[in-house]
Amino acid sequence: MRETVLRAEGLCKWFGRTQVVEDLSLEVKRGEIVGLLGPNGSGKTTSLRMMLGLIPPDAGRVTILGQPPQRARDRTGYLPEERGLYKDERALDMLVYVGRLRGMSRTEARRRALEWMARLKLEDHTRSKVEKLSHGMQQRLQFIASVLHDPELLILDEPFQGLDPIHTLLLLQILGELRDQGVAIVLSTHQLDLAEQLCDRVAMLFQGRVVVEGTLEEIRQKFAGRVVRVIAESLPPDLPGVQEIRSFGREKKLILEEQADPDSILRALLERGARVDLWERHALSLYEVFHLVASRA
Amino acid sequence: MSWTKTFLIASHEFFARIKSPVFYILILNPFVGSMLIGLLFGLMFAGARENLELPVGLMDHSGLLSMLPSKEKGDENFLIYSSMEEAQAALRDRRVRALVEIPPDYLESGQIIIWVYGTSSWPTMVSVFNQTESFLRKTIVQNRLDSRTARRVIKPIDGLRIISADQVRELGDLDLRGGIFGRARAQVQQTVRFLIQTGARYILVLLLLLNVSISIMYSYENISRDRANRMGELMLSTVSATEWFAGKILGVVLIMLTQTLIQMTLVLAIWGGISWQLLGNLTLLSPREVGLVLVYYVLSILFYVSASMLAIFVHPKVTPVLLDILGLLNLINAAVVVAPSSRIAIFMSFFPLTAPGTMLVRVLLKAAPWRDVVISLGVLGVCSMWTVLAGSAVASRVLIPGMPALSISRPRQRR
Repeated sequence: MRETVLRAEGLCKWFGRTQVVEDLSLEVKRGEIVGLLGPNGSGKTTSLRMMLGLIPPDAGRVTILGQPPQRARDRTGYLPEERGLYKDERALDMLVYVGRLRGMSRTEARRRALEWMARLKLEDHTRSKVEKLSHGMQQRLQFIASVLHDPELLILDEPFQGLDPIHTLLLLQILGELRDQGVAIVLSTHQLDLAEQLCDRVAMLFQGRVVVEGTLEEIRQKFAGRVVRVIAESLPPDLPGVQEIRSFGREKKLILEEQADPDSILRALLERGARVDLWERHALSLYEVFHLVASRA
Repeated sequence: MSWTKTFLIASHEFFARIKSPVFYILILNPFVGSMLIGLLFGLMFAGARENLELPVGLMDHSGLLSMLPSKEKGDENFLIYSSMEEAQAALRDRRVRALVEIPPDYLESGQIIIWVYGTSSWPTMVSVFNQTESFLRKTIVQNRLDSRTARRVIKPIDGLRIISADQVRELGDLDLRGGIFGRARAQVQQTVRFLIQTGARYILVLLLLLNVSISIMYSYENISRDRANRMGELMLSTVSATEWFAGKILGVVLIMLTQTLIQMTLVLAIWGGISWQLLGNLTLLSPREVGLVLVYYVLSILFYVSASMLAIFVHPKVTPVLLDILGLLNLINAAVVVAPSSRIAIFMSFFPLTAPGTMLVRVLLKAAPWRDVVISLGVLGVCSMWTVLAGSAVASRVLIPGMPALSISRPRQRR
């Protein structure tokens, strides 16, 4: 059985009168990638900060490798959503500094930084000042700063932000390799298609609460049959058991209520004389699940 | 707390700062100021040496000299004139370095007039004053005067009027006692050596307090840099808030010590060199004073840096006001030179925000008894620890984007 690296239990956070995180529990094991998904302001970043010990939770507790997060700093890597690098410093110097703060020797930090820079195609920019680098390059540099010291837990807040498709794929590949090496990874992202490719499990946050959690298969299973793809001339708006109709020209998607039976709805439709060219149960993407959950909430 | 990480942050701050041109500008500004003051002193001393080779003219209107037999009137330092026109011509032609005029009512009033030349008047006046004083005392004794004039032996000069080529200054009896201007003027009674030593101490007060003010500015820049670069999250996920805060403070202290060391070396090399040339070996500060000045200087920076960082953390709207208050308090420290042993100065020595600066001034002006040193060090030690702890406690709130600052700001509503 794989070791639990991160354990968050019943995390709550209030900012003034607003509860931004409500009873969040999460467990991440070695070699596992967990995605924290949710719309803006759903509490993802606050949750990640609590997991890192950057801000204290108002309730609940976090342990990293059995220790409080503050004691596991050198075993944790963090990529913040806001890029944080000294703009007037050279890229390599910046990485060496961060590496040394993580407990590495200067030589080791330099060696590892050069390796990572080559891996992320930044080898020509070792002496460039951070401010001279593009957003995508800065993002890659920031990523290197989070993995330079071989962390056992990697927490990434919007890691694909600002990356072009080539470097997005490269990062996906690297994260996959890190998972294979046994690194536990928690990431938050808006890019649900990437989360779908990468994550072993996801937790969807909405208004500070986890509304959906599990492996991709479990989630798909849970929402299977909730969406039907239809090509029809016209659809009556008051179909029983239909929560919402999304129209894409002739093609439509029916979002069904939780206990609704698609076959009964089709029968009701045909009884009303509708001409139906296509009626199929739709396998939901994460994006659709997310949308479904968000609209329901 | 890991001291390795703290020192790493401090050294990073240090090297980042010394790469900046602002660092060198801030070194040169106080240095140039000190050098200008030093140059002024230097000019005065240069003039003094030149003039000291000449005698002093003496014009007696009181009849004091006429009472003496002619063989006893002579003095190698003085040339006695019989008319004012003749004496003034001698001064104008630089045959005498100054002219002492003894008024008719001298024996009653104790007032004399010294005529001197422009910028070289001050040191000339010092030596002329001393020589005149001993000459008058000797003359009065030789005259075997009655009880009416005997008191003049104790205080031959009770008031002084100085007339120079470019200005007329009058110094009364009150001016020779206490107060900042009186203190400065009282140097008339001292030697040139004392003048140099006192001057050096005032320059040190000026330079060090100026540097403390600069350290407040450095702190502000330091935190602003981390904020602007959004380094808070990265740093605080890497080191503890205490390590970060202590490292920042230590970084500024290292920068300020380096800056001061460079300034002092430059000032002492040039200004001290001039003094050495003119006056030979001089000990400006005793080893005890050097030690205490160093301790209070480091504590000043430490405390002001911590307090200003804390001020930055409170709230962006309040920060400028708090920083201004800190700067003002530092300025008030400079005012202690007026009365370094007064009750206010003693109170300020034990008040945390003024203690290091005030004690720095008092040590340099030889007005800091051991009792005050011990109490102020105790107060500063305790307060510094609290400041570091307080700074660490609020660091994360300020450095992490989106986090509300201290309670004076309304919590940010999210969702």
